[in-house]
Amino acid sequence: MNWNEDWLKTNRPPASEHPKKYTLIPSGSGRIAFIYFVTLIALDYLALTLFGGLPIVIAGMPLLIWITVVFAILTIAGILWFSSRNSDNPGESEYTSRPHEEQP
Amino acid sequence: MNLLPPEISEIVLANYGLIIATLVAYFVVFLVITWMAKRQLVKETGDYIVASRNLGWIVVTFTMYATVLSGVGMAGIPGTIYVVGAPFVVTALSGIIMAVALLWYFGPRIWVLGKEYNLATPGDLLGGYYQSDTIRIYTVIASVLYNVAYIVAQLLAGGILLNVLSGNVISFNLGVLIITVVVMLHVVSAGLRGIAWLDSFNGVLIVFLLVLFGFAIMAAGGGVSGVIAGLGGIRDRFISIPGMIGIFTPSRIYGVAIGLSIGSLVLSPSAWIRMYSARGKDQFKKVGVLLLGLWVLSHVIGTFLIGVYGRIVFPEVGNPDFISSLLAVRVLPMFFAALFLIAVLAAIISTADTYMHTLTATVVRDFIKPIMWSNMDDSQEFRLNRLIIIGVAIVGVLLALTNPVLITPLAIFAGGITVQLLPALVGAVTWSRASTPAALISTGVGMVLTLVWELGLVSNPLHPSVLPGLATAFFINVFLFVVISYMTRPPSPEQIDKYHGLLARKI
Repeated sequence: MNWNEDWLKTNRPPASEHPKKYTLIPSGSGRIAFIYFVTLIALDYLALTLFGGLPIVIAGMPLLIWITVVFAILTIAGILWFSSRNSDNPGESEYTSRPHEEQP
Repeated sequence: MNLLPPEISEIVLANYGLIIATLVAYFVVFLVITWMAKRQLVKETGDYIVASRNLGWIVVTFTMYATVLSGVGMAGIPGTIYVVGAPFVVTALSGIIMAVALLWYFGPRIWVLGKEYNLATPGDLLGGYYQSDTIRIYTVIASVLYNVAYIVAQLLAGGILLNVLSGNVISFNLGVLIITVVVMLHVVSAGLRGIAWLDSFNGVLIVFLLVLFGFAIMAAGGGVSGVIAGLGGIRDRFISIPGMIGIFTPSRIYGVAIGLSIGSLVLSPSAWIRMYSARGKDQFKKVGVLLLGLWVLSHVIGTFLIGVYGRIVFPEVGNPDFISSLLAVRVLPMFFAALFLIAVLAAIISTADTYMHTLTATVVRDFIKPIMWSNMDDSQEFRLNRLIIIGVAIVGVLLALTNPVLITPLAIFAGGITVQLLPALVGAVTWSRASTPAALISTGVGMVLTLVWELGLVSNPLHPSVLPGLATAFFINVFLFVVISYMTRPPSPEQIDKYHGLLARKI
């Protein structure tokens, strides 16, 4: 049996010395994308809460389905938009640190 | 044991020649794909497990689509829509939408790390980053629970289908055995490339038939409006929240979506392996968009209308999982109905082959190799993968024959287990402040709580309409992960640079 917990053997400096470069909420275009998708989810949830209980049919389909289809379309649009922005700005990395912080 | 309803058996017997010819034609295509992939297989683990990281984006998309759709999408989801109403299609689609956004974000990161450090499994990445074999074992536990649950459900459904499609010539037990042996030989011969190619064929067949099915229902029911109006007195409850059984509130929709779709499409070990196997990090934008398009088509035009029209035509069916098959022989021309039943079989095969391959790869690479056989070389790992799959198949057959269960609840539970790996993954690729003790404790707690709540060993403190057990467990997992990370020391700067630094430079 060869069980390794190497993290116990490595030198882990205290949190005060931790490089705060790689954060949960990114900077630059990554931050806008993060906000966009979180807002989209919140709006979808809100729409389901406010309108999901209404038995309305639009063009044959229930409103509930339309809410989800719009959510899907806006997600696809977001992926395409932020991907194209990212490829237009090769120097700027998404969801990571600011450019000057990226070099070790 | 619930075998297919007698109506389908009678129609199958009346059209026996056509159905057998279609079945034989499908298996001929199956064999040709296996043979072509076998010719390209290089006998090393990198090719067997991740197809030498050289799958194109269309193949990656269809292999993810066909694998995740499985018998669940072809039978279980229409059956659950039949019972719950429109809120369940919203549940399935909402989860997929969030999963696709996560796939677009995590896919390139997992791919870059995989390429740089020759990673092939979730345990390679998480165990490597947190430098902990315990975390590696968590991924194995998630893989075993997830894959076994799905394999058992697929073998069960495959056995039933073969029994009926053969006009009872093949018994249920023999059907399970045949599916198992066919899938096992396919995986062993062709590796991931063969699985992905077969999935691509199956995926195209499935999406075509689901859309065709939807249009046939519209033709039979007088358009979408006519179909919805046909629900009569139950229309209002069927098409709105909280649905027919009264518990699908927005919070429950999101809670179930986490397990059903995010777990399967992003965090299941098989999805992870597909992210490693793509040709490049820039493919995930296209994969995400095509995948979401396919799912919207399949669910809005296919599974939703099947569930609705099934409710109208067969208001009191014994087992809702059979509603799509029942309806196929009622509304589709016989050739396409036969093809639909075979497409269900194709979806079952696409899932079973993937999960047998994944289960074997994770057990060998993340348990046997690091813990029991540390000096295992590549050729030994490759041979062991092909050997262990026999054990996996035997366990799958035994469980399928002794524990027949409904498909969809099993899928939600299995996805709920894998989704507990999400906080640890965020720590490894995004949030460097995350610590190893946090990943150890929060992931373990999340998995245990999912097990006890979803299996009903202990009752979930929240009512199911508020939040299902797996989602409650997930939020507790996230909370613990953040709190413990701030209370303990992060990984070493060298380790952080090796992962986060690399991603910052490459993405």
